[in-house]
Amino acid sequence: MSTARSISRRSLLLGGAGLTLGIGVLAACSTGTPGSTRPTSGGAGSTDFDLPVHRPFNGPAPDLPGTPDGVNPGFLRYPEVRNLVRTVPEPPGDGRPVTAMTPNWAPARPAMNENSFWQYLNSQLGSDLDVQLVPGADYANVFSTTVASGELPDLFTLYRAPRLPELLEAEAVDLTDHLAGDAIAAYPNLANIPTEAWRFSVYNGRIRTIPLWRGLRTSNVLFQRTDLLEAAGLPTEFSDFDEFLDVAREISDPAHNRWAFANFPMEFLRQCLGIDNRWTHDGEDFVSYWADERQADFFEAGRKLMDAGVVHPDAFTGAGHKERFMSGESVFAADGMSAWAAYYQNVASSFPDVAGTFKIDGTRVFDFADGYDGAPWRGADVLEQCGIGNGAQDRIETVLAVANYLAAPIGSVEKLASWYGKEGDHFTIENGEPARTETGNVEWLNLGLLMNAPFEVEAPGFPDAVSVQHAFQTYLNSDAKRNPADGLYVESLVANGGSLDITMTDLTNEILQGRQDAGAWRTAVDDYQLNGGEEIALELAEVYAATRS
Amino acid sequence: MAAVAPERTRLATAAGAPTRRRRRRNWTLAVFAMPGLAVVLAFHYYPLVGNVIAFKDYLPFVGIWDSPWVGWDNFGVIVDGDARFWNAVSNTLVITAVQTVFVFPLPIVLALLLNSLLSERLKRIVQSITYLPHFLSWVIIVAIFQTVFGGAGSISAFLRQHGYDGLNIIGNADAFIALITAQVMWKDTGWAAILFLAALSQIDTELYEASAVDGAGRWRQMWHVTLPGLRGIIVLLFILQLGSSLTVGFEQLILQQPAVGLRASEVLDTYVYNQGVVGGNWGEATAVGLVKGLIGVVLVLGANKIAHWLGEAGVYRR
Amino acid sequence: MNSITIGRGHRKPGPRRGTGIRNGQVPPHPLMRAVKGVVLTLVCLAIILPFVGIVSTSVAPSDQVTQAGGFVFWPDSVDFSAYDTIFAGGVVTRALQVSVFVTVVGTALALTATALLAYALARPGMPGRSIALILVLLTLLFHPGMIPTYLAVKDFGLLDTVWAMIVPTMVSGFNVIVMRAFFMAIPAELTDAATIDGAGEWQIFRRIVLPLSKAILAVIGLFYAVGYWNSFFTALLYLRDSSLWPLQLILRTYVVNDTPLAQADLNVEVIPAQGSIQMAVLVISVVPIVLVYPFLQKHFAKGVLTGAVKG
Repeated sequence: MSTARSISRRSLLLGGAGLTLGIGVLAACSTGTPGSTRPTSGGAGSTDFDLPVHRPFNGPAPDLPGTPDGVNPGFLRYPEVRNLVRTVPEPPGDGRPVTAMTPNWAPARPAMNENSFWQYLNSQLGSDLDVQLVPGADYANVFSTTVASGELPDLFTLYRAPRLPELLEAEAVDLTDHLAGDAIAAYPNLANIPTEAWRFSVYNGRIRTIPLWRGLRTSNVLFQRTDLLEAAGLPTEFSDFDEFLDVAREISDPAHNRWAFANFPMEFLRQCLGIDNRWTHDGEDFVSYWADERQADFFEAGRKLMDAGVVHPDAFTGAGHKERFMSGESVFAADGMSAWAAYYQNVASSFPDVAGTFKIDGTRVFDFADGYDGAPWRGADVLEQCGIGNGAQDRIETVLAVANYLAAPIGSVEKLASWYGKEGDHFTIENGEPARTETGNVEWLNLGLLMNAPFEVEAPGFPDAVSVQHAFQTYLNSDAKRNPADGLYVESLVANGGSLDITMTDLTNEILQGRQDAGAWRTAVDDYQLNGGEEIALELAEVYAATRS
Repeated sequence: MAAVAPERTRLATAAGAPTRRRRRRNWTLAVFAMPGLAVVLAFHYYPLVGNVIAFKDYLPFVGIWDSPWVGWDNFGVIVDGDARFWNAVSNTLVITAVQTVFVFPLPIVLALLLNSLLSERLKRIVQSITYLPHFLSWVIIVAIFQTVFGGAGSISAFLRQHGYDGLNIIGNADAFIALITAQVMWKDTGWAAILFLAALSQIDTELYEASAVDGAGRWRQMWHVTLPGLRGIIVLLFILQLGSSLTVGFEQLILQQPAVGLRASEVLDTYVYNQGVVGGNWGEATAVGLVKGLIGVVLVLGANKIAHWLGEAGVYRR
Repeated sequence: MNSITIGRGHRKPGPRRGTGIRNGQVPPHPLMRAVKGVVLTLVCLAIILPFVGIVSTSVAPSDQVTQAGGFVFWPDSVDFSAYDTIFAGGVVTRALQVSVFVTVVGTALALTATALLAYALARPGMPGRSIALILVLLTLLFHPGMIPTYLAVKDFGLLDTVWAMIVPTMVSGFNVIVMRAFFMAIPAELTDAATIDGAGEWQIFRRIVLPLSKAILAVIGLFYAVGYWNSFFTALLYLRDSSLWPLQLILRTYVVNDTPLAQADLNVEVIPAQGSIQMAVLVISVVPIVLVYPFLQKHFAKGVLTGAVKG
């Protein structure tokens, strides 16, 4: 089954994949325009090849099917080991080490020579995977210095660095000829990545990275403790803001350390007001959501929440909300959807008293009041990408084959091996599902941000976490607004967008906390536009137009 | 006594060893200096060359030498009065001023207090306790302050249970300077006292004895013996502090920026980081760092001059 | 004309016990002593209480920790599971060895290089002395920046070696200046006498200057040791091989997930380390220094007591 999508008229004219490949080889001799600092495209518009075709994995079916446009397949139970499918017949390595670099958010792992999991993975790969697990919070620094040294490893998690297209052109292998169109069939697990995802990987008209497809998993959610709301006899869905506020009041009890909101439900309120996901795009012009008229309503509503004393006093410190939510100190917490299963797992290990009844869901977006059209937002389908450093140019097939191995999905022998290790040593089968042994827990390498299959939803032992999340994703998929800037690479957005947004977020926080008057907002929006916001909007429109032409 | 010692040191050389021997001795000294100087040159000066990127449109992946020259463009942010830049400058200056006034004297006071303790054992115990926080990383200190002083922290919870409002310190831009100053005090006062204690231990006992014989009381001893004994080190540290007055705790601030916002917490060093490493404006960030360094040099040289006028040795004297 | 800062003179061992007058200082007024006592007690409490909290939290059961918001002042029961977690797999043990090596070797090398440089700068007559002095002074003001330093470390072939953690920070300008000031305060008669006896610079340094400088060597040595013990950023940038990672960097991975920085960038499942684990990490990183310090401090006192005239 091929869902290849021709994405440019030129490639349509050229026809078949073979020809496209030929052109690609030619084009490789003259890639890039020296001296140009502004990429005119980040999307796929000006390419002259087919994006890699999509050949979905044909293994054990998920209990809850995914959709190609974002819903992650859900596994209520891990597929039975004897049903697993082998996707890589032979070890992909060539005996020489493959270097890699990826952020690691878990405690440090034992080094390779003292790590049987790592050694097992190496034996499966047929090459030592010499991976540097960089503490997550320091990844930006390490990535910068590594780039400066000109020695990016064979496989690396891309950091959203400035001037990315030029960086990749200078230091990463051009993957177009190896992956475009049907060529990707040589790497079946990479072919399992939806074609749509590869749009994120095209820089200056060439495929420079392998995308990690997250689908709806990147969306932000206002989590709610369904168990606590139900126990208090309160509704879990709300018809408008007034009802929402009443429930929040009802459940808050500062004298006993309980506040409805662990952190401030910024995005949620804006969604209820019908504000667009970061940018409003009418097909031509982009307008930042900071400039949306309804931000005034947002502040009014936000102040009401603050005055009602239903927001945790440390809501704005940016930390600790997870603990507050898990312990029941708070009932709502805004967080990434990735946290869903992690909440269940952490509650089980850290809050054993709560674990029996713990139940969460995403809060459905409501219409703020009459005349408002609330709608949820969804995150970008791709966040992480995996680049291949120039040093791997002469053995690119091997390195791609290793990436292919690491991209094996749930239901494959390889995923079980790279995620759980060797049965008996690193995991055992309990109730039909793999469970890590103590050694496994200490030694396993989470390479999920380096290379991954399109994200699945699984949480061994917590089927609820999977089914409820799947239902919420299905809800989002029908209704949620995309950010029209997703997948567009715009230099001014990367260079200035972050700091401009920080300024606006800081002011938002101050207004909500009553340290600044809401009147300051209008001036700030003007400053935002002057200091770069307008430029970003114009450039976005330009790049957007280029990708559609 | 102090004033005499250097004279004598000078005499030592003038007191004429034959030229030939002196030359050999000089050479030995150069050998002595070699390892240290080599490290300084290799890791402080050799990389300094990298500051040329202040005049370039530096792209890390192109390299320092191949990035295009842009003249003084990167300094525009300073000249043009960029709002974020000046916000960083003013925060830096305010924080330094507050910390100089409130933090700098504390270790001196602590050292004097400790020095006046009669029991050596007690002195050592107190000292050992007070230097401990120095070893905590900022991550931990920020976390501790948050759990103790946060809006839902230990103190706030206690207040609320007794019918009062909780504290509003953490994440409050208006209380931010007080908060970080308290953190610095808690962390480093005991540690900084070590140098002063070392200096105090060097004060000649005879001076105290002589003044006691002259009938000096405790305060007079402090004024006429102890403090003069500390003057050199105080001046030295003060000058160094001036030199680094544009540098305020990077890690401490960057950890707390998300909570409190950039308006209150952006200082020059975090600005350079946010612009450079995070924002990719390497050239601009380096230009700001360069100017900052130059101002530091001017401040130290100036302060040193003033110290000389006041008859102090200062940081250096040739 | 030379600078002096610390050593203003050298004292003889004075009457210490029993006389009420110590070092010639007049004993304080009883009221003052009371005030002093109260102040010092408060200071100590302000520091000890959080530390008690740290140790308590590290051994408290996890549900108590979470209920108390991450920090308890007294554990309901004692539970060392946080320590078990950290020491599982041998990572921390290995890192401990690396840290000890870096700290011991680093401090020894740093102290040697610093003392020799400070001595050369303190003595008159070294060729290029004033230039060398200025070179050292300017290091106090300029920090070359992360990437240029990284490239230097790379150019000198230190990347991925344990020396990358030791060599770049071996000489601190501040320490050189402080030590130089100390050396310059050593009475010239002593060195003069040695010179007349035909001693070379090495003998003077070794036989006269060093024995008189134990106090400053102890202080500066402690500075270096603490610096090496606590450093992690150099390791993070310069060492790819995690078997060379020092304790602080490993421990940081237990704590850092909880920093606000972590959440800003990537939408990932960050599993926050439990409060008890974080505090256990802290205890581990502080304990060695707390253990070593009394010895150094004793050394301190000894060094100070060795009077110049006696030598």
